[in-house]
Amino acid sequence: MIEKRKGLWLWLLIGLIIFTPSSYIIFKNPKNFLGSLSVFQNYSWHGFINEANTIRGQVDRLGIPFLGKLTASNAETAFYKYLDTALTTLDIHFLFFEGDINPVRSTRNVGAVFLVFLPLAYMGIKSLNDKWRSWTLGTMVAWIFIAGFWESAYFLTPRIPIVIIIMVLGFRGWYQIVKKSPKIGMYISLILLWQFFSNVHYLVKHFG
Amino acid sequence: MKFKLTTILIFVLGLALFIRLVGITKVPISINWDEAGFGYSAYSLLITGKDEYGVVMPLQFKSVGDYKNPLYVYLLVLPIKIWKLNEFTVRLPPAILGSLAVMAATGIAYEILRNKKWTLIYGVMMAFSPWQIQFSRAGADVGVSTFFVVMGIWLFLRRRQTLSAIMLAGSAYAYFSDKLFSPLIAFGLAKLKNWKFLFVFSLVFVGALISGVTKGHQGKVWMTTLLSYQQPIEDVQKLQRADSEWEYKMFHNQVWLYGKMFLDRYFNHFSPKFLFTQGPEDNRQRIWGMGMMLWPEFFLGLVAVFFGDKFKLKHKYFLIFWTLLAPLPSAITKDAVHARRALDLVYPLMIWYVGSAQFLWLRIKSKWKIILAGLFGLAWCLALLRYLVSYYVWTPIRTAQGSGGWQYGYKQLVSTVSPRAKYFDKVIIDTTYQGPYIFFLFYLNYPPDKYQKQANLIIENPLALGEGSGFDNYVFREVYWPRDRGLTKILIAAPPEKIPEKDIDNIHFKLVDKIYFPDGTPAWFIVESI
Repeated sequence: MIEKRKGLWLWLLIGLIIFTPSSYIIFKNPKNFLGSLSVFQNYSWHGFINEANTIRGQVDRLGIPFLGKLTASNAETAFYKYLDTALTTLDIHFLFFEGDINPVRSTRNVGAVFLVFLPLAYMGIKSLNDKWRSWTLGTMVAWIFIAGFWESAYFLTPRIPIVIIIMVLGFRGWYQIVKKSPKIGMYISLILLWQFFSNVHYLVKHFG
Repeated sequence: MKFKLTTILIFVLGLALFIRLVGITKVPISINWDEAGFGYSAYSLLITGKDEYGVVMPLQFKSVGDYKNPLYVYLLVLPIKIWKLNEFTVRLPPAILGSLAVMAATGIAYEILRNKKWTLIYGVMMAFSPWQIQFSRAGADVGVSTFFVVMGIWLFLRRRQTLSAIMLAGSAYAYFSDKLFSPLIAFGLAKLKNWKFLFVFSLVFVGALISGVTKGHQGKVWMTTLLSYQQPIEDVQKLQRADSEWEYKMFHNQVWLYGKMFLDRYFNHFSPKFLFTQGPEDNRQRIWGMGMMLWPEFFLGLVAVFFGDKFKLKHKYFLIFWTLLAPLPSAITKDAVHARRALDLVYPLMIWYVGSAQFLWLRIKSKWKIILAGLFGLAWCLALLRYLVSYYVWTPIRTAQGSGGWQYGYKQLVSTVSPRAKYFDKVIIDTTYQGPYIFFLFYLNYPPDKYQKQANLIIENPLALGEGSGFDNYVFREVYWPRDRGLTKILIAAPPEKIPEKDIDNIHFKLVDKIYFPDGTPAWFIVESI
């Protein structure tokens, strides 16, 4: 019966992507949301070069040849800064609890995705075949490392593709649960609805 | 080349011991007040059979007011008897037991992976694990308890159930978090069916349970956990003003407030930020410039999330249970994320990583797998090298200061002040960096029988730890220069902000010495009245 309603599920999916916690902020404040997309990491910033020089100096005092170059070169220090920003893309606190660090891009009351999507996304992964799992994993990894080029680790805009992937996986997981056990599916739907209305309530009543 | 499992285990143990013992007294840069407290309580026990407050063979040690668990203290008695009370003896038991934990974890990995080559890889990765090293090199009680947990699990999987139950329950006598973790993991292992195992466990565990409900430990639970969290009254009033009653109950209720805090803390332990890039904020837990694991392992973690259900592992459901359970004791506490309380998580996580590597190796058929393995190996070695440099060079400089860090400077302070102390009526030591009394007792090897008669711990704030008020002519309190400068025949040691250098006029007071932090900033000014 559920199989026959695939169109409905698609509409639900589109509807809920629009009503992601961040969507209201995007519509309300598109300039702030998209404008800062031009702020990339600057690896020639003096503070950054200073840090690289300081740590290399501390290693060089050991007197071991090449150790400084191997562990604290400018390139390596830049790489670790980049890695930090890239890997923070999957920071669970950022994705599911508080969202973007800037209040013009997030209410900080919910994450970039509703928390209920965390277990659902995992269920979604489990429902994929190997080929799709590999593609999803590859796409996520690729996007994580693209997102690393932007300056702020908690900047949501360049990470929207990751949010969409998680939501699609979440919906797939939800769909699988509803298929297997409509009762559990209903409870999960209620939790999602509660999170949705809680967010709407916060936006209307408390978010200035 | 074929190895016997015993050979692998001995090799891993040797490697782990070597890594954990090299320069153990130099890095971490100094002992902290927990280590000094453990050491002095054990010293007191050795000399008098009582702790420093005169309690005979206690099951909990009041120490600096944190009511320490007993096992580590009792384990320290023998090394102190042999090598005296010093930094080395305090750090030796966690280093040895931490290394044995690596060996036992390798045994568990073999039971799960059922492949000696991958078990060896696991053993090497665990021996070099920054997370495990961090808490087995410094004299941390968790370095002791983790051995009992891991050994208990290994013994259970090897069908030595009585010994396993004793080990698991024993961990609760070493570290507070294991009072919660060990019964849960024991029940998970026994699957509520193995009554003999559960009976032996309960029999040994009951002592830890009793000591856990005493007033001292209740205070500790209250201080540390979310139980004592109160939403600021201004926030509550603001929400209540804007909402109707049903809205407030529906969207801002306490169940959701605490539930969200718990879940946030719980999942933080699986975040790449904690595991691979930044680690915890606490200076005694963190390794500068990185997380608790090496960053190339991030990819293996992702593979485990996506393909973990396809791994061919024995005891897979137990492994999932262990992984999900390990952050629980940490998630109920106030800290956003806590590497020490969640140390038991490192072992199953690493099994998942090695499982991922094994899965990829078997799954990828082309020559690419050799190239990928080579690239991973190179990245892992470079990350390891950077970790070692960070651990030995960068971290000590950046985490030396204050009670949140390694409390550097007390050893130098004691060696400067103690030879002069007898010439003064009072020696006043400032308590800004916390716990000076325990460092003086520790480094002076002060006779415990004499201290027991003078022991007086002052706890000014119920949510903070205490300060010993003093012994002989030593006084430990806050220095207030406008008042203290009027005293005569005194020696004062305090941070530079407490003693303005311009006031040291060489008429009433003279500067005896300055002690510096490793980054060159002054830590202590020592002045004496003329």
